[in-house]
Amino acid sequence: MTVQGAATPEELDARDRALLAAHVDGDRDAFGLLVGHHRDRLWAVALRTLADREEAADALQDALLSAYRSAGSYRGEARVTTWLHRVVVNACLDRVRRRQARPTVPLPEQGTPGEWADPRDALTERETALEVEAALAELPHDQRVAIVLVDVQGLPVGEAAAVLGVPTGTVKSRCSRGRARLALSLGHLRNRPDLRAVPPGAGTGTAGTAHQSPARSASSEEEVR
Amino acid sequence: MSELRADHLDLDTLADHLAGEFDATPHLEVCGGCTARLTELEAAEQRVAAALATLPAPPLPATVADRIATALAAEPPLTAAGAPAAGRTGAATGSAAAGSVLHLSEHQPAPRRRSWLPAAAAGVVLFAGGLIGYSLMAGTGSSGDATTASDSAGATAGTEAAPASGLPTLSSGLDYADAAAVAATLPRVLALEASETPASASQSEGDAEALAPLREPAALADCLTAVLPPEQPDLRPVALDFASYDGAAALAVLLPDADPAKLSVFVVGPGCSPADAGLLFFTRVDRP
Repeated sequence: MTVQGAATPEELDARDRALLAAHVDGDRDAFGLLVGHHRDRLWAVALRTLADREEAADALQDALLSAYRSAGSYRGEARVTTWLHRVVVNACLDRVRRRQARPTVPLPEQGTPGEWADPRDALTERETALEVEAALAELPHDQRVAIVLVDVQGLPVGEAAAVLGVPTGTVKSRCSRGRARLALSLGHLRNRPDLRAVPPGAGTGTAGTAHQSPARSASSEEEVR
Repeated sequence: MSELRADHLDLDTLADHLAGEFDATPHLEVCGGCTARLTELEAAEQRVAAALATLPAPPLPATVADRIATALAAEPPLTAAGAPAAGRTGAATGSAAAGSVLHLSEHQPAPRRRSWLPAAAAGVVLFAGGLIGYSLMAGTGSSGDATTASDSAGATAGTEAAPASGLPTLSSGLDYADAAAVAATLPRVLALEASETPASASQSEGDAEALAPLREPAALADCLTAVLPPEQPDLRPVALDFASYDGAAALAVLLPDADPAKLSVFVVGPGCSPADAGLLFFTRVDRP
């Protein structure tokens, strides 16, 4: 017995595949309908990956235009939603790469980049979603996008790995490292100041790497499978 | 006691341990401090994961949704079917200028499932304020689609002015060094029907000859490789304008801009090649 109105992921994917096929066959409305089913989730991914509304809007538009044009290359190995997420994430990461030489503009609500929140002060503050969002925006991008996909959007690790084109072990590592940094920055590790393996200012100064451990660089993380 | 000793595990290593990346971490078997830190980190990560899972989903702002819808609506339908697709283009958007004459090609359709060739097959490209018809010549791949070649479209002769690209082609007569004239005139030229701007009519024979190499499919595709943004090799030019710059023959490649209300215009010389686009000028103009 199925609950009326509650489609399974397989049913939703079948719907998506039908819309994509119709689009490839020239249906003017199909792609818009497909986007309508996924746009809020894709927007959330873009916004949280880039932490900038304008950039996220540009990236999402680029991605959807790219998906529109390249729909014929979709081979059906992954679910349509996975494919769409991949296109959006790639568009976001392209933008990240382009601005790598520049420091990111911090969100108005967040603290000074490069400083960990003082755990004792953080204890006295309410953990609002805004604080979590701000802390998320401070993570290195590879960890941020993994966490956005897995912990925020709820994608299975295997699907996130397919979106990112990396092994599942890498996704798990990025998520765990990202959560650890978030825990530190949100003050959840208050009794262990020696967990500050990365002293403030130890990074290169760029937003994407400022909090990266000097002992274990991003490249060393790639070795973890 | 609280100092992190060199041989203790750092935060990333502890996190990787939690991620199940290590079969065994010998240090943890002998270090009570690191074991305690690991326990605390595990609880903290669970707390963080719970907070992340309950973050409110930000809805797509209406302005962004509208902008994206507009950009998508300006795209040609993804089909090789000729007349029906062109008909649907106008009907679906409802923005085609009344009375516009479509000059649909009678050539066979281009290969399916190409990013912008299908529009060439349809023989029509939609602009915000009107339609420009163009002749389909030998189909060639975009810069990012070298395998397309001119197979199905064939090297059938057509009007001399149209390059074998399947892209809408103009000969506006503009000198792109005159930015004011470009800004004032180009949108109007784009909005005009092709029949009102006979190809080559305003281009001197010398300019036409100088640009002849770029009318070849392969050379044009190579040139576009250099002009199109690397991250969007499949971007479909809105139009090509065989014109001039500072009195010399030049090709203007009109591309969609990040701002949907504008077009990016790259003006290149006749020597445009993958190694060097020979960019002479760049500007942005309002879409018609």
